[in-house]
Amino acid sequence: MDYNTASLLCAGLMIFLLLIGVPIAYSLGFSSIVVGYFAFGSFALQKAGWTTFQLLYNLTWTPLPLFTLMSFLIAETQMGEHLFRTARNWMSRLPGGLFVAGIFGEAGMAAALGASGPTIIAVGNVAVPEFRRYSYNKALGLGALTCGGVLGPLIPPSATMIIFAILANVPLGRLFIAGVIPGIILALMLSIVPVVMCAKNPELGRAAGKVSWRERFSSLRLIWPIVLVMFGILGSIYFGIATPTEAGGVGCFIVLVVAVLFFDLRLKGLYRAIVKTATLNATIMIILVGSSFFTYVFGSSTIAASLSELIATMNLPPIAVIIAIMIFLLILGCVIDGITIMMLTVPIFIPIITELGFDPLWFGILFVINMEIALITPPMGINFFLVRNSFDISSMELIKGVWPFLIMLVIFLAITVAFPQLSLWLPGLMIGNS
Amino acid sequence: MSQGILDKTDRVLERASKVFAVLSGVMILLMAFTASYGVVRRYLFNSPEPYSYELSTMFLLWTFVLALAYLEKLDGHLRVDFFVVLLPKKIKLFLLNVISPLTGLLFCSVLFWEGLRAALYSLEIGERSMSVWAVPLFPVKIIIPAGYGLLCIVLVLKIIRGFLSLRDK
Repeated sequence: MDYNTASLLCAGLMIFLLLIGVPIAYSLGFSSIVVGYFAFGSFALQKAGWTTFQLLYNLTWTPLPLFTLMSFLIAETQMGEHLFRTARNWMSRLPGGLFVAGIFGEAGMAAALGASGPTIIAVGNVAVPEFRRYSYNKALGLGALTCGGVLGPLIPPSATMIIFAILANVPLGRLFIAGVIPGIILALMLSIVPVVMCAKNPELGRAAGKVSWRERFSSLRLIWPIVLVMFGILGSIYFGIATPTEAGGVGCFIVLVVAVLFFDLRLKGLYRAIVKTATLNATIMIILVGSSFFTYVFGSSTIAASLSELIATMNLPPIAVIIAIMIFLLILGCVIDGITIMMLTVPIFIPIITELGFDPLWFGILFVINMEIALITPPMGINFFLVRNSFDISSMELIKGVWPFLIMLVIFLAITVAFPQLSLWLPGLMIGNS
Repeated sequence: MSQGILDKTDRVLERASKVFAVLSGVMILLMAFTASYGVVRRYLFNSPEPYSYELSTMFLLWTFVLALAYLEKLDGHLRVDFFVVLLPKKIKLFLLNVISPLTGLLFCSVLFWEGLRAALYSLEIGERSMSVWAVPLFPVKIIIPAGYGLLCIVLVLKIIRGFLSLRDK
């Protein structure tokens, strides 16, 4: 069997297994082991045996479990509640102020959490009862929270960025810092939606009422743990004091101490957090093991190289290639989950991107935004279903609430494509090189 | 195999995989401590040491393989299910409860077997890590087949249960 046929067979079998509901990790692993065995003989199996050790007995992936642990530890505290309440006090005079507070609450949580799911749940658990209390439109509120979840991985720390940085071989610390400004802009852009909609139709959500300045300032005292964690992590990376792994470790340590001393974290909560971390970590890493072997079989062919050549011969303007990739990823994101897409496409796209003269850091930010949009769009919208199931709303209702924000997200993606400086300016000023 | 034996094996597996998962979680916690310890040693005491890095990598590997069986027990894998939900119930059950674990079993049994061989080879040649610490690698590597092995047993039981439930329907 020649290598190109093997690659195509392998990809075909993998897609077939995915479609019949076989877990992604097993689809990748099974297809590459079977096809690999027929193409390369028993050596392929031996290679599979080494993969786990080679991939994971090194420091590259250590930030992932650490930042995941930090997220689950924070989820055990009331930090989300405090952030939302503080944001509510400050936004109370705006039409749809509670929606805006939800989005800013998520932005704050995002500075300590690395994924969108926990961000949405942490803020949603407090925000949704408040929406009810003030007769806010639930669908619009949940739409805001679902799309605001994108802030989770965009504002560092971020699990998606960790995976991207490793696959694309870009410095993780810089990628983290690159997400800061786009994250702030996105929070502002998403807030425009409910303000405009509620100003037009006050039935959706009225201003929540007067809150004194004294109360506003005093509520700022509630959010110091998040500020501490945020500056601890970003500051140490930005100033080159710690590597991302160390920042993750120190972050966990700080959160643990704060959670025990100020949020009554007990053994039971810690136990829940570590078991959840271990499970989520294994979920991602088994896909990693499967996909690395898949890439080994697939990478033996000239298909990826021919794709690059094809793009080169088409003589497209470079930005058109980026736009085409973005559209391709958006469509792919509707049917496959983000982690798998990253593992399969980043190694193929990065050489093309650098060949065209673009900065892979910027592409990383685009990728993160794209993958988060993928989490919202059904049928494979993990966050969409998370919100639907956690907050008891029908799919149709939730779609109604989500779409205005989704349009804003796509506009935001377009802006990030058009202005690379938004992502690249801050990391350019960095001292460290991590 | 009688239902009683199946249930009993299931309970034992449940407990074993849970113990492994908790161990895995504890190791992540330890990773956080070793990483922090490394920073503190370097900055506060100005004395970098090689152990925290090596320990972190060890824990990273172990934490992954030890949580695998529990992940399978929870059915926590990511999958694409929008197409499967449209299929008739019997086919759907067959795909999810028999075919899925079967593909998993083939994949993981290769990882188990080759992992075991690699670990034994490491013992044979007395392999040590490249760091200053020079840790013997056999104890590090043998955890890999242990994790995959437990996962394989969980998968075998799932397949048996899958077949039984098809027969009952």
